[in-house]
Amino acid sequence: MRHPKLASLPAWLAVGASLLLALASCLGSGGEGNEAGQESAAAGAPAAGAPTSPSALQPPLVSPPEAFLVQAVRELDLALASGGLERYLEVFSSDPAAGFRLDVTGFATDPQAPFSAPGAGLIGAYQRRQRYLVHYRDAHLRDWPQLLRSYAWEEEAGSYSLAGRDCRLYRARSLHGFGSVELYVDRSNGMVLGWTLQDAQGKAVQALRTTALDWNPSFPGMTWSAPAAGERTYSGRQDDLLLGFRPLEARYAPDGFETTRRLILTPYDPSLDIIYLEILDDGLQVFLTAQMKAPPGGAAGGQQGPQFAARMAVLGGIRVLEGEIRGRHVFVVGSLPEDELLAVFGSMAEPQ
Amino acid sequence: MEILRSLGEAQAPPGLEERVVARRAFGPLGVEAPPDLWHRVVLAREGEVEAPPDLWERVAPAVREAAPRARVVLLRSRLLRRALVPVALAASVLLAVGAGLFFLVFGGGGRPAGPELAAQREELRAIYRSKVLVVEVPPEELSPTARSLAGALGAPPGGGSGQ
Repeated sequence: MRHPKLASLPAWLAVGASLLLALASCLGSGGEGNEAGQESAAAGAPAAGAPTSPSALQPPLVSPPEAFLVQAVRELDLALASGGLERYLEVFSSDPAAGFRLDVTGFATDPQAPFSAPGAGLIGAYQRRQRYLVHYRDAHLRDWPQLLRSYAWEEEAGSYSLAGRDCRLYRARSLHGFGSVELYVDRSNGMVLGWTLQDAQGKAVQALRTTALDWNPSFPGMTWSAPAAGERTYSGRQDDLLLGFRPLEARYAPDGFETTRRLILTPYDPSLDIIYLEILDDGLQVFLTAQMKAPPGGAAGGQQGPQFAARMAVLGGIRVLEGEIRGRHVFVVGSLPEDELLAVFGSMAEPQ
Repeated sequence: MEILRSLGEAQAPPGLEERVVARRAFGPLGVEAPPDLWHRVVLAREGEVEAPPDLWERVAPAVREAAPRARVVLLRSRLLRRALVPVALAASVLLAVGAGLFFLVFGGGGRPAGPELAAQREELRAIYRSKVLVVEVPPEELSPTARSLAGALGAPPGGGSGQ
């Protein structure tokens, strides 16, 4: 004989589930820059056959490689502004309980040529940047509401194979004209095995493909990646004292982009200045703004009447703007169209 | 008052004088003292007084008699219980869907949509864009910090000029 309370258990479960549904729909429609996002939830528990939505409407449930115990060999192609291509052979190692690491093991400038051993400078650059490359360069589905607002999702028919794994191919087209992202997702566990970032003209700017996988790696004595600078969340007035200024506010952000993190970066070299960093994303693509105390003399542009002078360069599909605005050295960095980044730069104003 | 005093040995009931004064003062105005005033005055005079230990036993039967009887409604019928489960399920799903639709319609992040917004955004972008005088430079002329930030997003470490 069942306890009377147990008899009504299904009803209570139904009510609880429905309330959760309601909460999810609320977050889905108006949630603000949720840093934890859908993908990190998926990353916590990657399920077999995770891409549960073959329809053209929903972003897939995927997990980034750092959510798995795995070692992966990957090839990265970077398109250069000159029209050339640089290719990098990477080894990505991950133990979710310990950390991850990204090394470069080969370099080539010709798509047909074999990889050659990387120079010391390139190895050092990877060591310094590995953490940020994995977090900000590699494709992540960062925030479910933004992914829905900013992209139209579709799945390409057919079967695709990377590193001998059967994959689904998803394409996310920016609804605001900021290009598209292709994702190769392992059909059995939802792991992202490859991605391509295309600009608004459809040109591939960056592309990464996994070529080999080891699901039972051993990492004795592995040194995992660590931040290249002290990193913490910006706390307002106290940090303003350290920075020597109040960070300017961008009054304009490209459609679909929101600030998801405000950080203070403290270089381990005490001769370098502290940096205020804002990370903005549209759920998939990322761009950065940063500010530091302007050096005396104003070497990098400056204010000329009502206008701001800035210098710009393009590095492998990434645009960089820098210049001085009201005593701050301001940077705007990303793969977005030039006009968008210039508008962000020009909208910098004293905080209200 | 003088008349009362002239009665000699006769004792006026306690508090009579105050009552008369009050009646004289407020009677013509039609103001009546509240019925519990006297109890309050007495209590104030006596200060805190412990209730007799058997007070609750004495008043409890009267309280029980006066209180409305509480009833717990139990769904004793299994059939009724089973019938209510789908009803509860349907009601909760409706609540969830309704709440979801409400937020989808009214809680869209405060962002208006449509061609008007696009035009406004374009105008705004043009205004801010026009505030910047930009000079394109080779990557190696950027500051080390600028190159590092670009590298964090995947720019080639050599600035696109080989290793």
